Amino acid sequence: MKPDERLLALIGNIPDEMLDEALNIKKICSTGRKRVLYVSVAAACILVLFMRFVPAGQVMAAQIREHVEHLLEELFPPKDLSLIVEGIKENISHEAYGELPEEAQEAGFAIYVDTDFYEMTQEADCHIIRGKRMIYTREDAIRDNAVLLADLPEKEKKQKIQEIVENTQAFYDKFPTGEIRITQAQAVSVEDAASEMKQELSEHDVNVSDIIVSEFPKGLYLRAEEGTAWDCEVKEVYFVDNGLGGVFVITASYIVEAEEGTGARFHSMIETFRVLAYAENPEETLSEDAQEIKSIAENFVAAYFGGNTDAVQRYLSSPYEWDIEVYKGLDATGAGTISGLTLKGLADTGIKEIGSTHVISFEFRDSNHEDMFLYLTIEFIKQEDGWKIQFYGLEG
Amino acid sequence: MNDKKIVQLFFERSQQAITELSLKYGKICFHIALNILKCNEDAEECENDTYLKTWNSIPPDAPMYLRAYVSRIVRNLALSKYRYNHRQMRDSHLQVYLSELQDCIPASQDVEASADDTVNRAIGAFLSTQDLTARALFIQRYFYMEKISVLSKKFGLKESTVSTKLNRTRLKLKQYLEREGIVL
Repeated sequence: MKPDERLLALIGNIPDEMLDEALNIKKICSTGRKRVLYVSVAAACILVLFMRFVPAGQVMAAQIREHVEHLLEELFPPKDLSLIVEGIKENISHEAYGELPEEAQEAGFAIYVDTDFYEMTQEADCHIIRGKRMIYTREDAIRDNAVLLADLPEKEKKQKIQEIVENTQAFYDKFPTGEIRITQAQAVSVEDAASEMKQELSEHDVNVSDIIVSEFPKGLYLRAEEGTAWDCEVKEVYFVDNGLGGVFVITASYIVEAEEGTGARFHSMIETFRVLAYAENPEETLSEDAQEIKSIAENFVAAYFGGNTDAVQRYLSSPYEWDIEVYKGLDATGAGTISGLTLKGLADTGIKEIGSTHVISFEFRDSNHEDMFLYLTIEFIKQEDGWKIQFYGLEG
Repeated sequence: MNDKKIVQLFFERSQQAITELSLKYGKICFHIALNILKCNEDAEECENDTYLKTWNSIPPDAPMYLRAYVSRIVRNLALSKYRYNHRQMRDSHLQVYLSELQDCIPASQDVEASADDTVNRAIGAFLSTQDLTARALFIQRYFYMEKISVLSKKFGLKESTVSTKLNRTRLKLKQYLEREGIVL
């Protein structure tokens, strides 16, 4: 049996509870469409009161990324963020999450989330970014215990690996994963919200820092620490003006032991937090860079579908590391009639520096494959002489 | 009638078990079979075979999730019938699903294939790390064999968003299987 056929067959053995959950998803999406309500200052303070961690499995959570997802994805396409985790520099892929304002009296937000490690949920009026269940794999066990396993006979090695996987997984399942909570309060200034929070936290047995200015995101910041032991809780709270006389309160919670891991990841995500104002047509606010990318992309795609390799090459970076291809269809049936060509992924990102990259995609249909949408993904890089394409490829 | 009571009827070897099962889950069984076979008569045959197979397997099985249990049976029956009807799946409407799943095939394929239960565990573990929407989309597409247009309506997402999400999940599955040393 070919690998793809085998995979199709083995997908039939997915656990029952997942199969059942997948069919219930409609209800979850329906209930999740309610709008986020503004909370009072008092309620916001109560939400961020100093709490013990509760393992993710014990909290009823409805994961929500429904009707705003496609819009957020167009405005804030996925990107890599560079950060230092446990002393090691990593480039980690992030996706945008948030809420778009539906009218002029509302403020929304967007934040980039490391979706490999974290999941986004909404509970009442609070958006929560919470760690996923960490899975410790065979590969992890082999990598972490290479010396121990090196001289063991094969059978014993397999048993040892299994034992390590089970023990480590049990440890991971008990380890608090940390979370970021985002709430919004009306009719309160950033300064007042921060002062009230400081006072509220000070009434508990924690060390609370002074309120200081935060650059990313722009606003105010304070930190509360339960103690210095490895499992003592740390809270970092940011207060960001929502532009409508209210404030976003972003609270990151993790344990002391996780400062250089989870703490670093949280800082990286929170730095991307942006307040979104209501706009009738968000795509009208294209920056100069976005307009240049749009113009190049439209000319490039005309050459790509027109089969003009020479014209395609004009828009590529030099040297171009990949094969220069034009559209020839998905398989031996060849290219059909192309329709529904739509550009996605242009965002008002402001001024980009030389060396920055940006990814867009063209959605289209091929009459030979009417069942699916196809995507031509294009990665741009800004060079001294303007934007160039450093990678492009088809996705089905 | 709730699932527990239906399973109890099977244990009591009551014919009403089949009646209740078909009332509650007949539609979904037919729908899954039809998604795969694209033929009403064949789908109906699979649905009926599912009832027989369920009758023969409960007891000793006592499934907690009866809907998932019968869905799996009808899916397997439909895929078997499909293979019987078509010599190979290559020239078929299932080609769309197979070509998508090719994105998930790990790179190293020149060694002995991993055992079924190893692959099963890996797929389950991978899906448990995905968010609810991504997991549900993947399962509805490749287990329940739903069309993109149907998923778009069900989830309230654009078709483009559904396709993009599925694409990302497939690539992540490939990376996961490669890391785990899984060979298909």
